[in-house]
Amino acid sequence: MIDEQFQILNAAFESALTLEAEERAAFLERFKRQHPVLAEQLQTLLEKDGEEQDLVEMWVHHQTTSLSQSADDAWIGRVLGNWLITARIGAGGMGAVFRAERADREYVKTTAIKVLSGAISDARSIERFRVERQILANLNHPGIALLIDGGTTESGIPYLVMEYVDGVRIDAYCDENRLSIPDRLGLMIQVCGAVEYAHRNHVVHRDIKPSNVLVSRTGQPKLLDFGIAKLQEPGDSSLIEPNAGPGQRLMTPEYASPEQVKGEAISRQTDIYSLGVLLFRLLTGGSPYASASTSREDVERAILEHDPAKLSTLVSRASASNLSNADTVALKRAESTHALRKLLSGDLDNIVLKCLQKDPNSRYESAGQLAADLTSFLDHEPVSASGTGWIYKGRKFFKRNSRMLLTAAAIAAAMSVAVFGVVIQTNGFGSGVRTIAGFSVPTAVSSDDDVAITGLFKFQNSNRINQFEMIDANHLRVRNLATASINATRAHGQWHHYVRTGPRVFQAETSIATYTLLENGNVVWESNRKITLVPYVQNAG
Amino acid sequence: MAWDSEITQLLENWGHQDDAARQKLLSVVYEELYRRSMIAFRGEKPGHTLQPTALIGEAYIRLEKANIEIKDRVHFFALASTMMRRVLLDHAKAKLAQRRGGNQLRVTLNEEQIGQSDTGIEMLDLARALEQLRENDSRKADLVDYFYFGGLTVEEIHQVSGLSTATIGRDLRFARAWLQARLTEES
Repeated sequence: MIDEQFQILNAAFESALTLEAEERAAFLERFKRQHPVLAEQLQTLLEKDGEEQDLVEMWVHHQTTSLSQSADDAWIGRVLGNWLITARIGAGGMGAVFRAERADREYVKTTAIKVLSGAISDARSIERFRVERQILANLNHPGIALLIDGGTTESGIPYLVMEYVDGVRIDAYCDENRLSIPDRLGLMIQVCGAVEYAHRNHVVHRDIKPSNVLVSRTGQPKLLDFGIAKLQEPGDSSLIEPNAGPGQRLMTPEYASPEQVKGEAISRQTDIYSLGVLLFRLLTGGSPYASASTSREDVERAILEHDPAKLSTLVSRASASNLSNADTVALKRAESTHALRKLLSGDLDNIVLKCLQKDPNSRYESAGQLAADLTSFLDHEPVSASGTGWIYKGRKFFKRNSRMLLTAAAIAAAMSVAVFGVVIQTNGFGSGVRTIAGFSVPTAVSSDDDVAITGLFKFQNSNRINQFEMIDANHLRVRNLATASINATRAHGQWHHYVRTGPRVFQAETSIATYTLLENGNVVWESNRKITLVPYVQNAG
Repeated sequence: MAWDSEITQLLENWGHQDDAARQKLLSVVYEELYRRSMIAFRGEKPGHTLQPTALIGEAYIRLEKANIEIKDRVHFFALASTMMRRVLLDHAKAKLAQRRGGNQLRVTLNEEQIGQSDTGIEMLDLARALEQLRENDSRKADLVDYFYFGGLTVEEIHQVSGLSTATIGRDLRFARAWLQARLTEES
């Protein structure tokens, strides 16, 4: 094509664009008569102008991705310490992850090597890296990918050798297997267990998100990169140069807590927050801050200023705007849309919202408490996040024991002796009131009184406190309150417990044991061992 | 090195604004970008997601930190855009050569896709189309560099080129259609 033709086409193109369809057709007719050779080209240009996809843009995107990957591929074949890098697994803001094998073939083992971006050279940074590595290497938990080894390359780039987890991202795992809500919660409880373990060892993860939680082939969730984010944080002792390039700004900080966004102190509650976002995603498939914008500024502002969406409204909203979307979400959770919405409202909403509190002190005190609330929810027990109100407790109890409560009066009448201690239900797991008031022994209970029929007792020769609850006239549920309530006992020393015997034998079944409440007031626990229990009566005062 | 002639070319393109200081600046900019892209090629920054704007931005920050006076930020970005095009085309070319050169051992799924992207655009076709655009209308070719390879906004391009935003919009629209037509026509 010669320059003149190009200019003619350019001018005609611009003219045509200013014209409405009818005029444009006439214009093109005229153009065809004047420039029969160019008419077809003009037609093509106008067609191409209307195309959605931008080929050059796509090409640039593709090449930059490829360039990044090929840069990482340069690592394949290198030997770091005892490990030969064999493949690239992935890349993230913190560095690249490779698969590696033993270089000396002493034994066969596949590991994942994370090569951090940026070099460390000064003695202080090297020492800090060594210390952090040691702390992480001490974490030994089935839910945490083990740190095996680590070091620095000749040019001072730090790397970590970790257990290779052959697994799937937790969100993908849940959706692919169409896990029900209870099954998803079960996974989250396991994740919380791993986080709790690390917290007790004074390690905060700092970067909990779906890509850092893989579910292995055996269904075991495993947290990756525990504590590694700390090595990468800006500041005096940072091991990397801050990534200030505009491209880095595109990264979404979706799972970051308000204190991380603000650059404030990180604590265990930071992980609790991220667990809340993860929980939100597993339950709804969405983010707590639904926003059209994915710019870092907007996401950060939402994290700092906006109230998170409720789980149930997110499903409702999806339903209003896009029915099939809500249905898809529900389908993946093996529920109907309506049932899903119902399931997510109330306790689960409260649990997630408690995780997502802007103020770290308002969140769960520990991952263990979060796990306890999730467990309570699964067991239809009151959850701490839903408060300590009598009405709530009563409703919860009613839900659990509706049949029994409806006939409570009849049952009571049938009994010649009052059988149950009535305990003012306390908040055993959360941060609420923990004092159990003194109580009397009513001869009848009903749902109108909003009282829960529960009691606490101790095993003989044990300090562990257990809780029993009436399932129906003949069944008790007994639950161990070990961790949470023992703390509370220490703090207040005011637990009151009551188990009364009656003319009947009451039996409770749990997944681990059978409890039999004998007429003499003892409870027999039958499992792989047998012990006798006595009512625990604490001295008043 | 091929890059030497490249920088000369760049400086010529910018001839109308040349002065000694700018020349010196440009060569520094060039070396910085070159060095950084080579760092990426050698894999010294693993996992680093290369994006034109990021690479350019990093180079800029480096220069700023080194107290090299950059009076004209936008012009720096314009220059860097052109450099970025070279980096990407050279990368695509190298990949193509590697693929055709029998180095099949490490061909992965990703590498298979590199010479020819999923849009079906051959690197050589794009290089040729861009060249032809420059032969016909160098102003439009510059705008394509700024917009697509440097990630500059229309407003930034206005500051670089002095063209009105309306003109930039019209030029880019034609260039886009023209390139799309070139890239999809039967060869």
